[in-house]
Amino acid sequence: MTCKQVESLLARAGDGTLDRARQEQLDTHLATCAACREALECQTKMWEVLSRRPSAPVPLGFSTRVMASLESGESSWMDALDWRAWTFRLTPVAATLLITAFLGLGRGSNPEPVGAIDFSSLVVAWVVPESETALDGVTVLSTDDETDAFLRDILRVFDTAAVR
Amino acid sequence: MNFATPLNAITAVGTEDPDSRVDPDFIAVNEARTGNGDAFEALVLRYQGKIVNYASAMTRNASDAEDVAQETFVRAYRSLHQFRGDSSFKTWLYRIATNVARTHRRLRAGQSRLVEQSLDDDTQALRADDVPSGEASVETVGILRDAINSALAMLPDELRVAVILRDVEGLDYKEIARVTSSPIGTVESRIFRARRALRPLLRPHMSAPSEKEVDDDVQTS
Repeated sequence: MTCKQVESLLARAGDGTLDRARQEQLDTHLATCAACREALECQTKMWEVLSRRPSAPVPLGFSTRVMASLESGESSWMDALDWRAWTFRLTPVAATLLITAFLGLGRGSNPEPVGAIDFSSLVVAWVVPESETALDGVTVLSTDDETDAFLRDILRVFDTAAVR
Repeated sequence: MNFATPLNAITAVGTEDPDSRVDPDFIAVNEARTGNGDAFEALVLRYQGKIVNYASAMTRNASDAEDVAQETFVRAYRSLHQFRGDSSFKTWLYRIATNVARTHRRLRAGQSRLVEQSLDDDTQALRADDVPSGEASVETVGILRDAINSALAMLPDELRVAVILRDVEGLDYKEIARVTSSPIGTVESRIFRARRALRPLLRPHMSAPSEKEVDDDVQTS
């Protein structure tokens, strides 16, 4: 066997899980290879060090928080990264933008550019409908609690990132 | 909490292996699928120690570790209907945790605009005099754990996952192959290379006393 072929045997020999047949093959090689004997010693010592690593303690109330999170059904940080959730949940916003653009085009002689709407204001109007923010040419078609909560989460993530 | 999982999907779990029918994990999974929150909480309690510890080794940070561990259980709960019982629940959970930890790592790297700390910085953090060699205390235990975590963080992702699962978590090679969807030979090679790469970083700790036993004592006291 070559030194390269012995590598996988050394990993198992280092943690004591090599079967008898392959141990004999390894021993034959080690008898004539000082480099692999040293590599085996490294494997054994590293396994000893890593297997002694103190376990991280479980935070107090961890399971309670997990179950509370499941009960509430609130969005997690990974949900915010899910592009499918983004595209699906932002569909109403996209639809609003499209309708707005369409209405703008329909004015004909209006010289105001179609893209003059401030998107951040549009999002604020969506998330906080009670603010009654006046936006020319913008009609909020509908809202629901889930979409509101999701958009609030997004704004919170942006705020957090901006603070950092 | 309630799952609208069809009954045939539930009964399919654990039918491939006769022994799995009495596996407490499979029983709990089946009950959790029918909306039994207590059954899933039992699974959380059973594996929270392993997953938190694994997340700790993968993230280096206690707060991040809790985020990853909690997200792992949330993902597992939402995906219970996808668990077919081809592998053990533990293996399946570790696979989810691995994916969550990788995503979290990428997110952190993007947020901080720091891809990796320099080798010099981390090697500096692993000086022998950072780890007192005398009486072990809670602080000493934490320092040793942090030192090992820092060294592990220096490894490429594939090597880090393999060596953590084997040497820190104690999974066997077959289980690691399932978690990482890799051939066993690949797993063996990755572990060999990971240990070889860690040696210069962890050399100061090779002769340290058994801190794990001390840690266990601290946690139980």
